[in-house]
Amino acid sequence: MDHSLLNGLRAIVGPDSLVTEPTARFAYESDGQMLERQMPDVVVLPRDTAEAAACMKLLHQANVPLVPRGAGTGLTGGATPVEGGALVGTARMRDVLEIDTRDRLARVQAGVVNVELTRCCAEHGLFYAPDPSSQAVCTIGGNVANNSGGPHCLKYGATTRHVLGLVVVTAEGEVLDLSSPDPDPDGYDLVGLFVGSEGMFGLATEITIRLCVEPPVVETLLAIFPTLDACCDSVSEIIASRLEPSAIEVMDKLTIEAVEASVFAAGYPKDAEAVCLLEFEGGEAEVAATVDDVLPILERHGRLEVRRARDSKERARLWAGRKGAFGAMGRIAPDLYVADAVAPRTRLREIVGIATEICAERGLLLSNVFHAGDGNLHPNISYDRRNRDEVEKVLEAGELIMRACLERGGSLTGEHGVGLEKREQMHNLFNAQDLEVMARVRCALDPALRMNPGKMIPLRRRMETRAGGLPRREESSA
Amino acid sequence: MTASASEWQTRLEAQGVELERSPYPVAAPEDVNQLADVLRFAASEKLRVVPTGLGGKLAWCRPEVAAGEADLLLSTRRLDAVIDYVPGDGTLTAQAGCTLSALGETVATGGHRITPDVPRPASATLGGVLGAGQSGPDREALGPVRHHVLGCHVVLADGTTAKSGGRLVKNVTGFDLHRLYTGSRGTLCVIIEASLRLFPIPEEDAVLEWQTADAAEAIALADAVRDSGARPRTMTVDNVAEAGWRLHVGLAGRRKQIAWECDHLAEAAPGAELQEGAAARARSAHVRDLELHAPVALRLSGRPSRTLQALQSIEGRTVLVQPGAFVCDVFAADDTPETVRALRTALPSDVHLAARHVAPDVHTALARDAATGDGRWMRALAERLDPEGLLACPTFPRRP
Repeated sequence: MDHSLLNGLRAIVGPDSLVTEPTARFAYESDGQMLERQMPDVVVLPRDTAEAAACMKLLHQANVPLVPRGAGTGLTGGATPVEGGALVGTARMRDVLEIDTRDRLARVQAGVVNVELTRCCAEHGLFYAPDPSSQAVCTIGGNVANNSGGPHCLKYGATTRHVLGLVVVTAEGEVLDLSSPDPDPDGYDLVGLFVGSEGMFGLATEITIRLCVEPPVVETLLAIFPTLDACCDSVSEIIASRLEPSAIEVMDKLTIEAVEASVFAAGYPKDAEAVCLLEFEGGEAEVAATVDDVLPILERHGRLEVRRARDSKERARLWAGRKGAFGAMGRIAPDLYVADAVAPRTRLREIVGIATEICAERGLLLSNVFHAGDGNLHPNISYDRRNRDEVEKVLEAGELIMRACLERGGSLTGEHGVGLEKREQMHNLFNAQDLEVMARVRCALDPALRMNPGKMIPLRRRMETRAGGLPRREESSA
Repeated sequence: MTASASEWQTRLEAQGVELERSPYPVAAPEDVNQLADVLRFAASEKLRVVPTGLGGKLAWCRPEVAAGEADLLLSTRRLDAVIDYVPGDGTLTAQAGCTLSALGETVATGGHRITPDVPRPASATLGGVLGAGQSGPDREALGPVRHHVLGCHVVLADGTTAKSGGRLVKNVTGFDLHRLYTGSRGTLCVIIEASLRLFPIPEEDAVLEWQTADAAEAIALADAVRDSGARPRTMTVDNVAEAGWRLHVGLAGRRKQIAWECDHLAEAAPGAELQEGAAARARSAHVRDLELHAPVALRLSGRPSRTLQALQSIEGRTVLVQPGAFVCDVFAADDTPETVRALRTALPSDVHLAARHVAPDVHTALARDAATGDGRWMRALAERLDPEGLLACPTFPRRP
């Protein structure tokens, strides 16, 4: 990379926030999806919006591709700098700028860690609802880029329902201030469009977040099932009965075994084929009524036992097991392929069954831990990436599972995003026109296509876009 | 394929042109292919097209219609099929021309209801509500309508048909273009089909109303309700009645919980008038429908804590506030560009001010500057999706 550009960046962020040494850049060659890697030419860690804007302006003038990155916990290669260039990290943007208890909102820098925000506002009886499993390390900025979810999104909705405003640095290095909350925007919903855009429209540096009020009553149940099918069916019936738990999570036997053998051991019964972790939040009478309606459903589907968390400590332990499940799988194999698919909630059992068959046919080790309440499946395949043959089988299985899901009305991703991993699979869900419209929107906000190149939009569509196949308005008529 | 003007006129008439009610010709295609053909024809003839459902929101969404600056109204009212109601998944997919009342009846068979709860649901189409980004008082608990749109099919100005999102309650595949389209007032595309997340019909409804001496007391009461542990479905403060200010709180949910919340609120804030069941639903509908009797001229929105400060700036006007979200509807008066500019200056800088039922020149006075900030991004999006400006609105975003 050009020395004058590096010097310019160094002058903005200081020498400690510019990573140029190959050994240090190595840490940024992928996110949590490590099958595809590419080293960035430089890593820049601005401290605030002004520094980010100044850096991005220089990079724009030098026509350098740019990849935003939060904590790098993404699972689809969304932060992998496939075309090299500059990686702009938010690791130093960690300030909680404001907590407004009256209006129940917070303004944070993009690098604030998800769980830190809840810690900061807990004393006011408030919390930030989206709670991905990686919440102890993932950043709010990364959550915005991927429209992240988590178990309690069943009740509270994914990130997009909690983002009230943004400060964005555009690809050209200009600051776009959308931070003032507007519940009824008199204009296009640019904030809604930006959330989930996987860093392809700009870099969010500050986020205005809606905070939720801690519920008066929380009830947590662990239902133990003799089969995974019965567990899935009970979830489908709970949803069909229009009951509204705040979270419904399912874990299968292999996951339970891994969790119980790990530091996350939660007291799940090791002999169970599946467990369902259910949480209910709200007023006392509301929670009691909903639990009363759910229990017979669990019974009808043959639950062996239902355990009730007696206090917040027990509740925390049950959730620690669930949230530590992905980490616990490291005991089984060195690598874990975490698939992320969505199924209609009426077809959970069917699609979980197909995933089991696909993996069994290939001799692959499948475990299931998923947000059953909103149909967000995570069939996880344990493997060793040093075994090329196994890697091929894993990728093939992943694609077949996804295809089966799509054929049954499902979708490619519920919370991890498309990124690099599912880019070409977009053709399986969207036709050429759908993708062209997405490409047009991308072109509108980043005409040079420098923001996070190589993600989401399939390769062929990107090549056509770059060749000028999309209509552009003449400057003179603007 | 482009039809000639005379050929097209014949086809338009066959499809039900409503010239008698509108100064403009109205094309009401019966399927998506016809709709795309209309747009291609309009492009070839350089007609200015205004998408609509049944026309109920044109006055504030597309003020150029009243100003005589449109050429053709394109109604989706004949695209009125329910595509898929999946009770087991709590989702609904329907064409844009379905009315909200028809959709409400459909999903009620499975124990579901639709948000938003808007006035005159029998003459509000799904496409119209989404295009306008119209939320109802139930946004207090459920959030605005754009939170519950799961996916859309649209036709762009050049006739391209495209979808975004899907029919699932959780899905992050691709850009959330349906959120962009919701509230875009037909300036980016014509929404032809959409999928919605549904909600259970509550077991019980109740309404509590307090009369207060002034706005400050009503807002303070509303704050107390928000902090009480109750979770209102709706909450509005208004001074529509001659009696003065009123706080209206709608509760909905599990029967025992609503009973507890009614008792709790009555004890915490004595003096409320309580209505339950059908009477409560009728009362909530009455408050929801106030705008039918007095058109909303302006809408203020922003942080809830700005509510009182904003109300002081508009003292003497008739208003309806949703204090939890801080959306404040200001009912009609003789606003002019000068009065709204003065109001803009008087309001806190982070309170947004938008035009509703006002003269076109007032809309122009409040239109965003398309050369700066979010106006620039809005303009870039409009120009990419509609390069010829076929669907463009002069004030949304303002085009230079």
